[in-house]
Amino acid sequence: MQVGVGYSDNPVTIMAGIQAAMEAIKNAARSRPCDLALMFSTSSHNAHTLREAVASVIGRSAPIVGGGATGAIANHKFGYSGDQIIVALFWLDEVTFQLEVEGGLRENEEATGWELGSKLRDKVRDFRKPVLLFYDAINREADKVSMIMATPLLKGFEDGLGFMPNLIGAGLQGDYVASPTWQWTGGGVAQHHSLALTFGGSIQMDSVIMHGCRPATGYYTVTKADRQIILEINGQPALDFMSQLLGHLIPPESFPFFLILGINKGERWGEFNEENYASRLCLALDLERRGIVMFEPDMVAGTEFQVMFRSLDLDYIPPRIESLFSGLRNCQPTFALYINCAGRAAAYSGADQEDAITVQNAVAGRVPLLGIYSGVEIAAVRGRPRGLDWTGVFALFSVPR
Amino acid sequence: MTNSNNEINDCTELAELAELRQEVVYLRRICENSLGRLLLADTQGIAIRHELEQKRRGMSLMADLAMALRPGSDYESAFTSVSRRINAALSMQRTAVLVREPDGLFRVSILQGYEAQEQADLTDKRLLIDEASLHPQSPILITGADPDSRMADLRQALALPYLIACPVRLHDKIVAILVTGRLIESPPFLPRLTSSDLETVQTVSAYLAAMLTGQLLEKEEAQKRDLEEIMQTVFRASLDGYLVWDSGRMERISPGALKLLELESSEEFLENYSAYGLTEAHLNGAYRRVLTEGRFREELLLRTKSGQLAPCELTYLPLNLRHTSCLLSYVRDLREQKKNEEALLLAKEQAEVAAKAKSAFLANMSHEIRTPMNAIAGLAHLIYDDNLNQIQKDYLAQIEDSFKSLLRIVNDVLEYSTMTARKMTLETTVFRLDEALAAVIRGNQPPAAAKGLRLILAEPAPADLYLTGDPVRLKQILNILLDNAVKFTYKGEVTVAVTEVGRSQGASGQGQVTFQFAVTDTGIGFPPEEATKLFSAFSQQDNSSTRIFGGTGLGLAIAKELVEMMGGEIRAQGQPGQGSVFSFTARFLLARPVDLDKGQTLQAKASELRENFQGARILLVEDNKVNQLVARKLLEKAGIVVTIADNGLKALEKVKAQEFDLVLMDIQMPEMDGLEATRQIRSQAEFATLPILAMTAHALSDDRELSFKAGMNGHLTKPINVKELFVTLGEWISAK
Repeated sequence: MQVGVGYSDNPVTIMAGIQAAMEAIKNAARSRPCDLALMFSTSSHNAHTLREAVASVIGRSAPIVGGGATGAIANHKFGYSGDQIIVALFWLDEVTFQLEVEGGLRENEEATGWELGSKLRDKVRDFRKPVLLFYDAINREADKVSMIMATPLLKGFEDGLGFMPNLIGAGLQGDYVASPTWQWTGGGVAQHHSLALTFGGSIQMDSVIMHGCRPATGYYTVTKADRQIILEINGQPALDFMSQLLGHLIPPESFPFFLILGINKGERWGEFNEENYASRLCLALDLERRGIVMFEPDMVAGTEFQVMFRSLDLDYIPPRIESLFSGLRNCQPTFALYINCAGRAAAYSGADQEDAITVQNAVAGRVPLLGIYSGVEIAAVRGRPRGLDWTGVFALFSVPR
Repeated sequence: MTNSNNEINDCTELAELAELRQEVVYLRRICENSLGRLLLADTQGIAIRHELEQKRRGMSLMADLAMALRPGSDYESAFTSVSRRINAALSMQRTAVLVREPDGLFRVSILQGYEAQEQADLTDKRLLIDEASLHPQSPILITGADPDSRMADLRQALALPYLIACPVRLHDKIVAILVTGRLIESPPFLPRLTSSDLETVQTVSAYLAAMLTGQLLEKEEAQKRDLEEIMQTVFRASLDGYLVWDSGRMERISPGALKLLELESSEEFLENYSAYGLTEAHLNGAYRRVLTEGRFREELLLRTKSGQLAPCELTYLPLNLRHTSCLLSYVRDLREQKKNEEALLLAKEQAEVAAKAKSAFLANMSHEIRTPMNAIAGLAHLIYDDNLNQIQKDYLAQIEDSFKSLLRIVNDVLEYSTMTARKMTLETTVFRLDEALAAVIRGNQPPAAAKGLRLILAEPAPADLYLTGDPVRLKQILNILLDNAVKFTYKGEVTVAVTEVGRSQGASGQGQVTFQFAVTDTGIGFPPEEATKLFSAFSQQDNSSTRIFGGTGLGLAIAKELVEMMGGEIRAQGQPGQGSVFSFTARFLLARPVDLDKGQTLQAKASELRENFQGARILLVEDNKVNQLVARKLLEKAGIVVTIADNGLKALEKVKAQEFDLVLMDIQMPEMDGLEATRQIRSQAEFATLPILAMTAHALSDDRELSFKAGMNGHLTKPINVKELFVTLGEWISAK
């Protein structure tokens, strides 16, 4: 398998598509048409025009799969909150792929997941084989915006497929203000769809999660919740409890996109291990019910959590990426996919440096890198894929040497 | 003991446990108390990092612009580049560029981040923006903290509630406004716009202005270079040249001027320009004159390298060169022009000689024709006697008619020739309009009556109206028109009408009056499209009319010339078969009533005078024998004693030998002509009052002038009008 990645931030959509596709072909140095294209762009571009522009370069036979991203990261370039577009072209050779697409997310995430999983039931039998799951994270009707949830989608998918495979993925959004977003579904363009891209043959995907958050408190318990809204903590209204805990220095209106709660899936009082933590980010406040609105609905009553703080240095990233490269043994790395929470961009995270640069440096040009800034990240925590916030998911694809 | 020891141990463990619990609670409290501070550090880090990122993006944007805005980019492409990148770079949602129009309104020119329909609706919309609110040091920043009313029109027009508006200035004039902003305030990704954002946008717009100014200057510089190149090319291609003189030093000479002076290099001239006819003193003088008077021109003789003198025209102008006032002189070679002028002068002289020859020829022809005509008319007159039978009288009448026709033709030709040579001048005498009209009617009555036509004066002119003008020429115009009218009318009538059409003040302050005269007939008429052609010389309705009606075709052309000399216009209206109207206007000065003794008709006066000529002595100086005979017989019939001299020389002898009451002097004679003879007679004091009348076939007005200059008292033209002859004689003989 060979992959070429191209990047552009040209504000003119046609030019952006052509530039990115041509750069991807140039970087792969392959003469025959590619077999598959992964493409992500910000919502400043028209999805139809962009698809046409890319197809005009790579041909119309290869499916184009992907959707919105608030930014993009390649080996040597990155950007967010602008006109970024990134394209990865795949020449699969001995590797096979299967693409399944399902709509209806806005109506029922779990049902969509189930349909998608069902379609793959007869095609994916090896739980080790990689699955990429992307879905439209934005449900916007006029001025009303809500998030489409990963948790029910994943549950439905697992139920439909019959098991949970080696899966990573992303809830896609095209900008920071939750504008309507589009998905490229192989042969066309759609909204509120979920896409599952599975690979067969001698391909391997290894992934790590990185969030750089550490617990700042002991454990508290969600005592009442309604879907993704935590209504009570330790028997007190959630908002009041948290306000009291954080004091006047951090007013409640600062909570959205800032307050991170950690769910430890590892040993309760054991040594801190990033892999064991699922980060949960506050999306909004429910002032009426004194609740805290989260991105995902998995903090049900009885969930214990800790308040987390962010690490402002990014030293935790390189060793984790390096661990994947060094663990390959007889396999050859061919492609890296980095799914990064949009909020982790330095402009919004307060990090000293862009984590994109840290990842680029860690990859060091050893494989083509396609990174996106997403709304929700999906990766395994202690072996079980789940929707994550404030997380970077790094996956390394390899084939036998 | 063991139990008590166990109890002691248990107590110790419990105490330690309680202590440990207290410590955990204590530590937890410390941890929780520090949590706010810990997370506050996070928030502060985010804020700082966010601002840094915005600044980095601003710098990155300007770097992008520097790459994107190439030399030669126009406003449009510059603004497009900016607006395309500004949304992405500064996390803005919408950007618009408003371009200032000449009428002061701002046109929505470029839009980014708008839906297609919004773009269509907004593009080219004109907005009124108070420029006073766009101070360059404090551009507009509108956030959620501002009242909705602030710049409500702009925010509403651009559908942009939160915005930054920065003017882009070129040469202190606002050429555009860069407006960028957000639809919502949604921290942390789209926080409230701050002064930091404003500074970034302000820097971008200042950078854009600087870049555009630079491009403008480059463009102007390029235009200057182009202009210089064009000027140089023009001067290289031009036959003219130029010189630049600066404070006593010749600075520059153009290739054209070098060529004129037959030089090959500028140095040759610049080092020694005075050798070519341009002295320092002269140029200093020209320089002073240019500074005081501005541009001026002179002709100067320059000297070429080969020593040839070249007449040149030098046009001097002030020239600001390197902030110094210099003298620029265009040099035009006049050699070719001078040659042409000389050729023209020669041609003019030749033309004048030819014109003189023509005049002489006309005069000669006039003389040669009139002389025999005089004989014919005179002899016919002598033959006439009451004893002749009717047939003989009819023959004589026909001879007289033919004679008159011939005379009219000759007069027309001569008169028209005189007019076209602009030699004719109008007389200015006092006359009564009613009398002039009556005379014209009376004169044309016989031919009209002969054709059975009524000739009517529609309304007599006022009897007390005295005018100053040329009654002879007025009557001549009317006679031409009436002659034509009678000629081309077979039945019905010919009417003459006179209408006063206006009075005014003349240049001399004397009152002026303009009349319209109209001659209407019931004749054959003419097609309307022929109206203007009728007044052309040698033109008649068609050739057939000349054959049928005779005439030279000069009558109306003469009438037109005369009318125009009288400050009027002539026109003709007609329809074939429905008659015609010839009308003209003429302007006269109003005169005070005077005693017009001449109101008495020449006919009456001639008859009366003829009785008084008995015994009068006249010297007739005439070389032509037939004319001698005619004149002698006419004069003797009136009882005058006639002595004949064949030429001027003999006349001199005769006047000295005997006494005469009057001399009738021909002009063109052998031995000594009449002019010379008159001068010599007049040179003797005893003949100072002797009346001498020219009686000559020289009928041009110049000839009349010459006669008076030689000292004659009158000028009678041949063929002799018998009545006029006796009236004139009567004036001088009776006076004596």
